[in-house]
Amino acid sequence: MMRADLLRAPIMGGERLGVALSRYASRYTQDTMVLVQYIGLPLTAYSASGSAPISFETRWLMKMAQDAARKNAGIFLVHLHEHRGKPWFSPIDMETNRTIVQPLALIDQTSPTGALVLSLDDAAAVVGRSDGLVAISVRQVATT
Amino acid sequence: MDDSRLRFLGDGIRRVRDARVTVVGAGGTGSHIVQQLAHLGLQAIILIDPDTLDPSNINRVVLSHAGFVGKPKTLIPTKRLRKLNTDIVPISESLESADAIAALQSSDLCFGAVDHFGTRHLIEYFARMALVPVIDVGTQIVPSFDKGARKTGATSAGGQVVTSIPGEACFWCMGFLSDGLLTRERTRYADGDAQFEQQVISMNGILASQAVTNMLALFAGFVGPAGLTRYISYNALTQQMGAHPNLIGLNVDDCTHYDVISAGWAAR
Repeated sequence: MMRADLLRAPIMGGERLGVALSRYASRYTQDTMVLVQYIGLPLTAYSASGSAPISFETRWLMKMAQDAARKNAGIFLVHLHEHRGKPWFSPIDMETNRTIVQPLALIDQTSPTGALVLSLDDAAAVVGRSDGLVAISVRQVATT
Repeated sequence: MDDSRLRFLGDGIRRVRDARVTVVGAGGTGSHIVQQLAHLGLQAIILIDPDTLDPSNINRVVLSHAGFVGKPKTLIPTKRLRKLNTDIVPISESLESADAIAALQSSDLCFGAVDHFGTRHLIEYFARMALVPVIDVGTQIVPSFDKGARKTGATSAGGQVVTSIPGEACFWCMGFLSDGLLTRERTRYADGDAQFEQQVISMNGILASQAVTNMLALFAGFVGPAGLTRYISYNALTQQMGAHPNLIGLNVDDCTHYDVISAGWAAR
């Protein structure tokens, strides 16, 4: 579902974005996080200004983080690189992660906040910790 | 490992081996499952069971022998399967311990191989919090008695393999668990009526093998076009295995008990 949404036509020539609501698996299992709901960013969240391929209104992301907090969840910023194999964040993505995702993670540490990048068949993620961004492994739940 | 006989699984065998799988229960069915997972070459198996081996277990706990009596059941495959190069992590604690919950919730899949329906409920509850699929295995033999109250046969014998996938039908949706069933079980155990339940290694092996094959369906896509049958029932007296009647008319793609959006731990 995430891939299908993110693979739709680009917005203003840039990549589509989404947000996944996130929680720790349990009080015992804070090394494991679950992404429980995906929400694609609406058209109004994208910005025509800015030099980066991903241009969006950060206040919109703040609003999504606040909405997630009301559901006892954090957020992962999600986008897709259109290739197969293990993806990783581009330098511009990492700048976004450092300047937007990491500060968001520090505001509320009761739920995980991070960034997820998908390829056509794999994924990678970072989560914000008090001492910086940490790479984590990503698993998709088995499906039938 | 020579995989020439596993080519039919294609790339799926890599996903199987990369998986971190938890087995809850190291008894009659759990020991079969762990043995098969180790032979398949899984890199990480976590085995949870607080019990020690009793002499009456040896006739059905695979790989056990008298030398293990009084020792944790989790140590048996850990020691006996060491040369298969699988990392079996024993957790000889209750499922409700922090270590056990953390292990289960950080798995890619969990097998339930336990005796009690209450424990099955707990396994699925913890697993659904972390969006972990569960494959449960169970056997039941109801003995019949002659006039001298000696056990002489079985009025029913069989079991089931039930697969619970987050976001899809759960044990409760499939009628595998119910409030009435859990209440009856608590009453039976309080009355001491559940001691010396009957089990046999051959039936355990059939159902454990089907459970592992279900795992291959989930990780390697080894399944027919009709998809995975979520509730498989086995009748040892008629030698038949098939879809449980509870699946008739059930939409297995939906769950009315566990909402994915509510998964995880709400810390506030």
